[in-house]
Amino acid sequence: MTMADPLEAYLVTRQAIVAERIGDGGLATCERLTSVLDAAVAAIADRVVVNGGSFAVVAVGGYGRGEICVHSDVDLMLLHDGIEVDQVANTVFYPLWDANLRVGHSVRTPQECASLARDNFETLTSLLSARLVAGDPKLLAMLDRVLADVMRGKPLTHRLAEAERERRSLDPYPVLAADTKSGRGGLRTFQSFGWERRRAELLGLETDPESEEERDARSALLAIRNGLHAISGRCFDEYAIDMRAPVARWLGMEPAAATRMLCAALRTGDRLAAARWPDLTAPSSDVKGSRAKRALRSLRSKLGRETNHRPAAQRPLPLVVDAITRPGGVWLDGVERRRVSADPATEWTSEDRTAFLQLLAAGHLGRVALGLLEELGWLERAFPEWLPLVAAPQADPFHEHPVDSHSWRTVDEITGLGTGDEPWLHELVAEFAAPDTLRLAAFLHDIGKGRGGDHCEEGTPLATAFLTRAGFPAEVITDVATAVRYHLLIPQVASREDIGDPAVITKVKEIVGSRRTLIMLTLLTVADSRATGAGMWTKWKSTLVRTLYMRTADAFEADAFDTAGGAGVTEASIGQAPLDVAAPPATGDERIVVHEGPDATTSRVVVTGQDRLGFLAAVAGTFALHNVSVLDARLVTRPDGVVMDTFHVTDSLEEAEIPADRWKLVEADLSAALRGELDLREAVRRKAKSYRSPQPGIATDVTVRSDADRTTVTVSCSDRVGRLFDIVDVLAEHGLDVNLAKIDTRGPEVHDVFHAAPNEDVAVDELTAALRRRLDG
Amino acid sequence: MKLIIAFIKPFKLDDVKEALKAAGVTGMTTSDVGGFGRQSGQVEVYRGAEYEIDFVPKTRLDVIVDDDLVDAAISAIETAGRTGEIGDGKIAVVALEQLVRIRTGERGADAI
Repeated sequence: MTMADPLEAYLVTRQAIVAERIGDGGLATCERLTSVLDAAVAAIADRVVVNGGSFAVVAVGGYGRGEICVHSDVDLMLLHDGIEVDQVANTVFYPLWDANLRVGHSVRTPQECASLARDNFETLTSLLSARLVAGDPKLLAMLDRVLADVMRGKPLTHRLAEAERERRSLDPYPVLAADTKSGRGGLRTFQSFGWERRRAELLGLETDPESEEERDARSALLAIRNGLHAISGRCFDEYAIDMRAPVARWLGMEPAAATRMLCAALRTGDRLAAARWPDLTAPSSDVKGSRAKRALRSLRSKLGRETNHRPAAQRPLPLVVDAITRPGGVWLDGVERRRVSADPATEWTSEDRTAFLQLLAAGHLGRVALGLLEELGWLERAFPEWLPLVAAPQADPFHEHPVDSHSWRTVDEITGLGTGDEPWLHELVAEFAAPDTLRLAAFLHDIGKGRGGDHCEEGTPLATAFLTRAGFPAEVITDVATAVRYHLLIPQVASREDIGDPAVITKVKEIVGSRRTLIMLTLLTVADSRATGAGMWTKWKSTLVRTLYMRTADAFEADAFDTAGGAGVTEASIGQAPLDVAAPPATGDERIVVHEGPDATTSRVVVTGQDRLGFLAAVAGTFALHNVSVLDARLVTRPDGVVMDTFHVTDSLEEAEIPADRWKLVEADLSAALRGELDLREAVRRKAKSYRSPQPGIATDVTVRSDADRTTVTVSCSDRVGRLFDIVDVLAEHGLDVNLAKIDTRGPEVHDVFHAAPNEDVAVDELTAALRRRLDG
Repeated sequence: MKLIIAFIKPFKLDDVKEALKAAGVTGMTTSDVGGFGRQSGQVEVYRGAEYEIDFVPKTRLDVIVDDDLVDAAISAIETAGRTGEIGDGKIAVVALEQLVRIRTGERGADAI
């Protein structure tokens, strides 16, 4: 290349832009590059000599749109009318190749363009950006005519909306490490708007001009893209974490400001796409139907008439919930939009609160609906605390989404924990039993971000203020405020403190205050981590959090026993009891309620009845007789004397769920044993004899501790048929009424702990010896 | 030059990091790992439900130091990482043949 090379000016300009940004980095910079390149290409085209016929050098793709970025490909087409083109093409393209530019080149007649455009969507959209750089303008006019013919039979709008839908499926929520070109709300989205306008122009239809908002957002995306190209030295479009600071420097901005600019632009693209193609937000796309409906809606909206859907709610929140359920996507008509815009956002009604909770439960569609309220200014009046989170970049590099997207993702995650891939969480979700509170906590947990200071502390009064203003019940406000304040407690303690130290467990227990709060914070921790980004919730982290949860929950349980002074029941355990046994059954009215177990081969059964000495022994004995093996159990007695013992059981002969008809026999024998009509001790002894002996080599260990508060019996021994019966039968013989126990079978070994009310008559040595005799006998 | 590989309890990371910095170590790489030693994992029991942790969570440190810093670095990890309980972890030291700083092309101790 020599100084006389027409491309020299372009390469020098590009190098100057890389070294020091020229213009705003966005559209102005692209226009500068485009104009210098146009001049170079025109100068090259001037060298072409043709005898007869004509040609045109046409910029297509990004170059055609004037959006060429620092290291973009140069897309050029040699358009001709059938002349011998080899020499022309060589003259035009070789200098570009020689300058090491990445050239997307093609040589076609207008008819060939039409033929390719019919068959190939990418070719069609590239040609829609065609712009004459040099040569015969008649050829471009001819291209416009044939493209118009192609467009008449081409469902462009549908294809563009489908492409947008695919981008959304790849990025269900906007991401920080966005692909500025092909990601959700990126340049491709804006290009789609341009292609639709160009189509209308070719067909002589009326079209909407590019709004200032759209142009600004497009320019912002181009600025980030130019920055990425300038820093990476190649056509690199992903706003990766290590690129943020240098790109921001290149743009002369703070990294947070550059990221916020990008997030806002992506969000604008996202919103404009949803407005242009409302059925993007529909759960499924009925293209023909939705297009027709959209046209009808558009017309009615312009006329300001009511649509013919079912009578819509009047207040904004119920209205947007209604909008979610409409066919063809989330949308509001003109009247509804005006109503929302004019709504003063005064005191919330019960209907508003219900609608808000429904929005949270609706996941990403709820986010779209809330976006409508934001767009119409209602959110700013009703919930100003939320606005700083919108498209706000995260300070921590491990976050993949802006703050508002992360909050919505956390809501989605916490909604899915009850049925997700970690069974230990299913029980916690069921026990907490307040999904709406969990979703509110997830939605608001980062409300304090972006305000300086500790976002947990900053967020607590903000969440409280909003929920109070919205009229949520006091207990919900307390729960959510606690969740916001302490949502980092569990992950921080789990990974940064010694969870093997009882003092640490005590500290956590004192901060959370109740088992219920512990469960809420644990669930929020998991949802928050999962929503943060890929790789943030690992088995490593799960193990630490789960261990911390279990140890703290155990501490609460031990406390409950102490508080109850051996009465053996806590408020929490009453809350866990099945609702259908709220009324205390009369003596003799033993019932067994069977629930599904955590896996296919086990069940959870709740045995209820009036407590009496030997009740547990009767249950254990009847279970043994009917081959019901207890894997673990939780035994509680309510203050009114109603036993509510929960057993996790399986068939002792084969790994299978116990059939329903067997439970009827168990229930009948249990009643018989309690009435004294069935000698369980003898029946179990006979049954045990017919089964194999316990596995040898497992030592029997019995510890009995008795004080003024309780008697605690710890047993480790080999497992065999009727083992639980043996233990509790001996305890009953010695007048001990078990009211709290942990029963645990680990393979061939039994590790059980029984707590009983204090009994002054119990001789510790004698009880220990009696247990050993029965277990070793 | 030596590569020091240490497996420590996760909550000890901050203490160990500070101790290494005080000893003159200028950089390290950490990763979340799981493993077992003589403790052979651990079993948590809650409400009778057994929860077996096959691989106990640990944090791995990879620290490259010049020979004259090896003892100080080991001592820093040992002191700051110790709780006296089972599972405090291990420290391994491996001789390094070569080290290159990719950005500048520096070699050997200059690249640390």
